[in-house]
Amino acid sequence: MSDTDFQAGPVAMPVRAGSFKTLMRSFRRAPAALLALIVLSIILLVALSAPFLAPQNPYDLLQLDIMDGLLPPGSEALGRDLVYMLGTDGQGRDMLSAIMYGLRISLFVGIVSAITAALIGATIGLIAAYTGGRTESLIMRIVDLQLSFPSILVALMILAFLGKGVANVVLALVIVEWATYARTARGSALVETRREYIEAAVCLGVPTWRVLLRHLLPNSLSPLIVIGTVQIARAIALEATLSFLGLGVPVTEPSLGLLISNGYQYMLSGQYWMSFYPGIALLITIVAINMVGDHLRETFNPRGQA
Amino acid sequence: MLRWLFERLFQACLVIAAMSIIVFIGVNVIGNPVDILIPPDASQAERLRAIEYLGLDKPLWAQYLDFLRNLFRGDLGTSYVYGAPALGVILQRLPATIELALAAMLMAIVIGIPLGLYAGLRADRWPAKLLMTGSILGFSLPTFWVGLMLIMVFSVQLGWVPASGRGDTAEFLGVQWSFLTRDGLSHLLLPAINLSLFKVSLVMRLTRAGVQEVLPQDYIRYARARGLTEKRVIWVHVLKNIMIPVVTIIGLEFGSLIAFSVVTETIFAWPGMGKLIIDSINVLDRPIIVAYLMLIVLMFVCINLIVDILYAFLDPRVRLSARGTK
Amino acid sequence: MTGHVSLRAEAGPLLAVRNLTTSFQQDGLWTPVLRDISFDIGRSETVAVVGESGSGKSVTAMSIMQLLPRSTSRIEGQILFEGNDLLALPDAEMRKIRGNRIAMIFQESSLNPVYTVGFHMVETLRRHRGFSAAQARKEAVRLLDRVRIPSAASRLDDYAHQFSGGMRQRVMIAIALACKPRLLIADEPTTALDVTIQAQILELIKELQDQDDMSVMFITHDMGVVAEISDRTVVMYHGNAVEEGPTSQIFSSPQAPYTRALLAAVPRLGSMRGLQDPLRFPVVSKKTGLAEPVPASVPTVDPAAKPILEVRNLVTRFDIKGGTFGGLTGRVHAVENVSFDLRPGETLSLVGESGCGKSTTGRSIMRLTQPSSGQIIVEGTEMSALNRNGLRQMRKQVQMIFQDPVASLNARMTIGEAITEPFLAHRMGTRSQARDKAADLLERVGLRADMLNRLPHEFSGGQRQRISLARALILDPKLIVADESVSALDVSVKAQVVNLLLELQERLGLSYLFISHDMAVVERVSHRVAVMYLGEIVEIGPRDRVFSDPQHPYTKKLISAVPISDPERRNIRNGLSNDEIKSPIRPINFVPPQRDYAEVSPGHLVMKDAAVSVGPIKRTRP
Repeated sequence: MSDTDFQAGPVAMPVRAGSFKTLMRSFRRAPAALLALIVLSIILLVALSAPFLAPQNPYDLLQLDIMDGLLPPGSEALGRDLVYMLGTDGQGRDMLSAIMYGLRISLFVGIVSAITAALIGATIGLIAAYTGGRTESLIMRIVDLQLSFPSILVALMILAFLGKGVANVVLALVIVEWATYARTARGSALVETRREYIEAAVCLGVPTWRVLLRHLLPNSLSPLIVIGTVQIARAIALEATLSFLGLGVPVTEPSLGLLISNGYQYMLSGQYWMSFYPGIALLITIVAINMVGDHLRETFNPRGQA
Repeated sequence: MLRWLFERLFQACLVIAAMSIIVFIGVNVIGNPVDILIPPDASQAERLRAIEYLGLDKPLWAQYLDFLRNLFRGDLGTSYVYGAPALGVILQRLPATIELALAAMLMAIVIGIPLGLYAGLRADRWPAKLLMTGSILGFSLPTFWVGLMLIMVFSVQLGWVPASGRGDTAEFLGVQWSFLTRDGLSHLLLPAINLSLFKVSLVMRLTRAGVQEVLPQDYIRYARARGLTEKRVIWVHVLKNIMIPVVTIIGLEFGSLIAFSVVTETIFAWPGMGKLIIDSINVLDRPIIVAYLMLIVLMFVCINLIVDILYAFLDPRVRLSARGTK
Repeated sequence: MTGHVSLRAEAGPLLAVRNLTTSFQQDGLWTPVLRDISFDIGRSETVAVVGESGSGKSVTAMSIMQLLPRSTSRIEGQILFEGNDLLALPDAEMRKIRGNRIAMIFQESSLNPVYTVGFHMVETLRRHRGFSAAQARKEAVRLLDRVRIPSAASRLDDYAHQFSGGMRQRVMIAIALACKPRLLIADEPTTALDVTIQAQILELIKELQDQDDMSVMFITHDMGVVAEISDRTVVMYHGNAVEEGPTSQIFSSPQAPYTRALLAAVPRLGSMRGLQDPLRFPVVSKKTGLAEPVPASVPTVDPAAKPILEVRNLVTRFDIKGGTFGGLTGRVHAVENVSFDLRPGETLSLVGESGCGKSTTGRSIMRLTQPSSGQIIVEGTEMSALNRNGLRQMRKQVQMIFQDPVASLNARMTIGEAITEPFLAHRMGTRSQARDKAADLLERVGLRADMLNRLPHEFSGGQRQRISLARALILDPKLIVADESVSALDVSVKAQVVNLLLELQERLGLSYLFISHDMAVVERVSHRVAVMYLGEIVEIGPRDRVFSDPQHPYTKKLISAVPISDPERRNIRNGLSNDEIKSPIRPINFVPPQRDYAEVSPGHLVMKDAAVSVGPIKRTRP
């Protein structure tokens, strides 16, 4: 009897996060995004296995030869069977190895801060959406206030108070980013709460925790995933900027940003490779993440915003 | 409307008060001023004298009140490096930063809006798709690295434009500006491009998203159904609806340009507030840091206020609700 | 029938659509959405184009106006307007016809929100009639006067959102009339409006049409509206014009099987006179046009039984806050002192227009909204006395079905998970018992048991509403609150879901609180009816009494505003009103008046002293 309904065909629905298969299928239709995803996977793999892949350990002084300093890309090492594909820096460090190790630190700082900020921000945002009333308006005022200040300013301020260091940079990035997640989480939770399936679940006597976990959370997740992707890229870029300004990671743990900064002094004399190649690595990483993020946005929300 | 304005002003004051507390706590509690202000080789007696002189022995709230009192007098301390009142040092650098930010903003508008309109109106053509992919690049390029590359290519390799400084300036309204001289303009060009790159992408994407949101609306179909020319539909009916969010965001982003000029100024040795604050953080010139932060807070609050008013002015739905109950 | 038909013969049709075929491009393929449509619109004639969603009725209008995107659509055939083929006209010539010779109105929300009403009018007048700005403004005022907008001159500089829905539609009509068009195409212009406002707008269009000697092409899904206003009717189904003819003939002797099926599914107000019990819709096959016999109504209510639901003095109010400090500025008196009973096996309908509080009453009973005061007694147990656990238990007895078939199912859960979830949450049995019961219920609501593993997006709107019903039934409830549950469905689907509700009532002895704005459906399904106005019940009683002998002025107004799906009983009245629907927003210090009810016949109660009921109120819009 089901075919007695004459309404034409099933209702079209945007793809939702969670159905992993549909998501993967959507990548197949967008070759650029798929390429970005592959590049991103390779970058992650390289960063994770840098100690095994890198031609040398750039921070083991025994492996460095000061005589090899400032060699342009493609030079051969003095008396060793090693080609400096991307040249060397002032201390004879292989730039390719330095970039691989720098990538580790950049990605670590970016991902750890984004995940921490996501957990804190999303929790606060969901609490705001649930409690409502004064708690909500207080939280949202703080969020609005913080978001009205640009990220770099807030990070500068915090690092000016705290001093540099990997932990401080992560902390600064978390403080910079939590508000975005809080606003997104609250926004999408509010939209979903008003939808009838949530009310239906309440009417059916489904316990509150189950309504939250089984109905609300999965459906509010897609905007958070999209924001999360973009925020990782932003965190990596911001860390690089702070390190470049000398306020980020210490010289003992150079990220890509610090590598670029170190190469800066050689730039005006035409020894571009020390800044150029770390920058390219940074650029590829960020572009890949943003392209994946852009694709997720289009997939989850066909009429997305900028 | 007046009441709404009054409420907004009151909110702005609250924000400034809150930020003054945060800055105060940040500088005086998290970063220990004793360690910062007193040389580590000072004797115990010297330390105590210095603590008393600086009022650091008083309870925190009393210190905060002192801080506020000085704030109102415009006294934010004397720079250790420059030996001059901190606020004065900063204000002297302000025009350079404003000039840079304005130039970048102008570029973002002049380039971003037309490209965004094109990408939105001709969304399925390949140049539009190329622009969208390009804008991801614009979003992703780290500003400081682009700055370096610009210097490398246009200053070092090609030698077209200088790599640092403001160049010759000319006076206008009692302030020195670079854009009034040929030399100054050539100095301004690279930093402005560098700073605007991110915003061009932002404005373009925002405009495109606006077009894509407005085009399927009923009132656009209705405008066409009334026989209006396509030109009028786009330039009158689509454009005003897009301009409301775009103008708002551009206004708010002006603040962000001033903040991000920190990076550009450092690279191009542009003598503005941004370079000053980085130098000051590196040498822990506390009064300058405090003065910079408070000035920036004030600027941001003003920008937000102006944008709010502008937004209400542009959008009748907001304007009328502001006039009524709110 | 009016005399328009004879006029038509004099000079040939104003608009002749010949073999119109429109295709859309999707994923590189051209798919026809209109197939070989032909019809005429005579001079001064009103032609209704009627069909369900996806029938192509709006695409027909868009094809005539050539408003479809060029790159993804293709129009073939001929559209002859005053003898010229519109499809052969260059763009610039076509633009001179749009809004000038052929005007179009849409749903009332189509004014650009950032421009004033006057701006739209002046723009159109200057474009087509070459007026100066001052001339155009003067003419705009005259036009607003013509559509009976109060103090027209002062409203010219207002924005669309400052008008009520009905007034916005009047503005759009005024703009349409600006250039004295020969043809007005109205695309569902009253769909979003309340029924009393709809009646005003229909009358207005009719009157202006007569004055200006203009033809009207009226696109609608509502057979009542068709019967009310059109001379001839084109019935559309899946992109085909399946039948065309004089409206009276379409209604009295439909030829196409689809038309027969459609008309069988349309409730006609007044057709239930003298019947006590609800009556199912006849089922007519869309392929053959043959009808199955309607099963006779079975009495389901025991008049002596104790009520399953008693609502006593229910009050629900919402605070309106404003300003930075969130001060109280007023209250919405959404539900004010509402009392009624509902017996097992009985259907009580709450009817009224937007803002009357019917939905809030349902939501208050479900405790989705916290009532301000009053008692809700389910099977003798007072709900407000219950703790959280007790409330959960109570929710097993009382279930709710919502309006939106898309939003009421979680898109990530298979329908099996969705249906079994409440069963498991209430620990009513094992997982396999839950699945068995879900499978059984799916078949009971007319779906197949093997559909359990599918996701909601694989189902149509009507099917989803059936799934929602199965989900509600798994807890073996005694009462179901149906909040506009069939309102979003197409006519034929609506009739099927209503039949299902009635069938389940007979089999399971369910009680329904049926909340709806659709008077004709309400007449079909209910035993008793309560009419709500501004949060209060103004009249309640047996359905037949309320419909055949309404007492309260508001009930009378409401019933007389409903378009009747029968061209022989046309309801056109003269004397146009422009009353607006009032809002239940009141000042903080407002004290609702004490109400008394008169019993005009057994169980038929009417609020006394109707004059007071209009009371001190704020208008929705300035």
